[in-house]
Amino acid sequence: MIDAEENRLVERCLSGDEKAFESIIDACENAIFNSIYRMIRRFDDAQDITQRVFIKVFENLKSFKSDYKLFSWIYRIAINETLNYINHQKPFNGLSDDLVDGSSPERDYDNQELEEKLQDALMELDPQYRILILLKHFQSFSYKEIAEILAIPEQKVKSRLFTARHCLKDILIRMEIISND
Amino acid sequence: MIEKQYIEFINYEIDGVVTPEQKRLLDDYLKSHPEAEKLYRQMIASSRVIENIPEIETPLQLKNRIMNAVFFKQLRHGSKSKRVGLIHWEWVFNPKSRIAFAYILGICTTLLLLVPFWLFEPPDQAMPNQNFYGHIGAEFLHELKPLKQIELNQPDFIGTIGFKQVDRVFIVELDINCDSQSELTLGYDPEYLQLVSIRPVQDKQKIEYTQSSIKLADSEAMHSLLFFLSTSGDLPHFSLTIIQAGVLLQQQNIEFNSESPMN
Repeated sequence: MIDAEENRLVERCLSGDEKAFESIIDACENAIFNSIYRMIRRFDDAQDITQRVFIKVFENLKSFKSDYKLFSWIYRIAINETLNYINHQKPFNGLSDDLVDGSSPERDYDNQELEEKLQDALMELDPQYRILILLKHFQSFSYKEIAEILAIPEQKVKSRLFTARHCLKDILIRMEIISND
Repeated sequence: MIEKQYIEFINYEIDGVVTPEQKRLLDDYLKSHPEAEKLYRQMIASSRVIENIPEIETPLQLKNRIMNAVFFKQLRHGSKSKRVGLIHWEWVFNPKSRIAFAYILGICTTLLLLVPFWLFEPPDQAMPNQNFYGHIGAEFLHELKPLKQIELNQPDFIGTIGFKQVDRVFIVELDINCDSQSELTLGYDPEYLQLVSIRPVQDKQKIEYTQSSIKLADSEAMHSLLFFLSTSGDLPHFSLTIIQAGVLLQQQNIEFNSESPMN
């Protein structure tokens, strides 16, 4: 979505056009939901948080500044909501995965097992690092966009991302998902 | 120890932002540093593995949930008159209400399943015998109807005599305290009534039967139920005689009026 298009959508939303808001949901619902799910690994809660995110978006559209990308701005709200959720939760015990609505029947067992292991590995990361891995590897944001979303300098994004990758690599080796050779 | 600069280059390559110059420097460095080369391979492998995680399918109803929630937010911020009528429906659209709905549905289903048991009446037992057949059943079609109550307030003879009817059965309820020389005689017309039983029969009571009367005497208390069966279906009449120490205290005919059952 290009900037001018985003601005028009926002204006339509502000004038009470529900279809415009639906378009925004269509454009980012999947990415937001997936990232939230990967962050917290609770399917129902991920839906609740996604809903809260879009309600906040709706309520705060007036304060949206067009010098940001709309998606980055929404993502920022999503990250904040997710971190709030994580901070109010008990430490993750690794057994509360209530997935697997998202799994398609044709996916074979090995893939599913690998996916669960990878999700386990992600959950071992500190949430601050997990976010960076998600933003970079799942949503392919640039360093600049990540810096906007997280409201931190670009240089910090890089150093944190490199640390996150290093930690993840060690976890994957320990879990024998990748080789140590 | 791997130089920090080359760790950055490795990350740039993973992110696809490495410049040709950085790439050349990195390749040269990796050739001469096996430790760095090992890290490079592991980092590339872990990135590829992570990128293989498939997307989770977003639930189909999520968008509707969001739109409903937004709709109700609009209502909240809208005029008060709009809110009054509709805001209470918000809970219907709340997905967490599903638990409440499921609970209510469960209770209703359970109640529906129990209805046949409540309405079920066991059939009368048929007697499978050629010479002895029929049904045994119990039914209570009529209520106990009070007909008359007589208050007795003679010296040393105090109490009540109640007359009640259920279907063709007439019940005389004696609830009397008296001295031991008292006699109470209840007369009836055997063409219309048949004495069936007395409950309970007290040991001390002296009961004398004739074809048309029953006399209770020499008892300090008369607390009994006398059961009569009507043979004609008409309202019967009784005669009551009370004698104490040989002196006639009370004698009266007792008749019943079907219009006003109890006096």
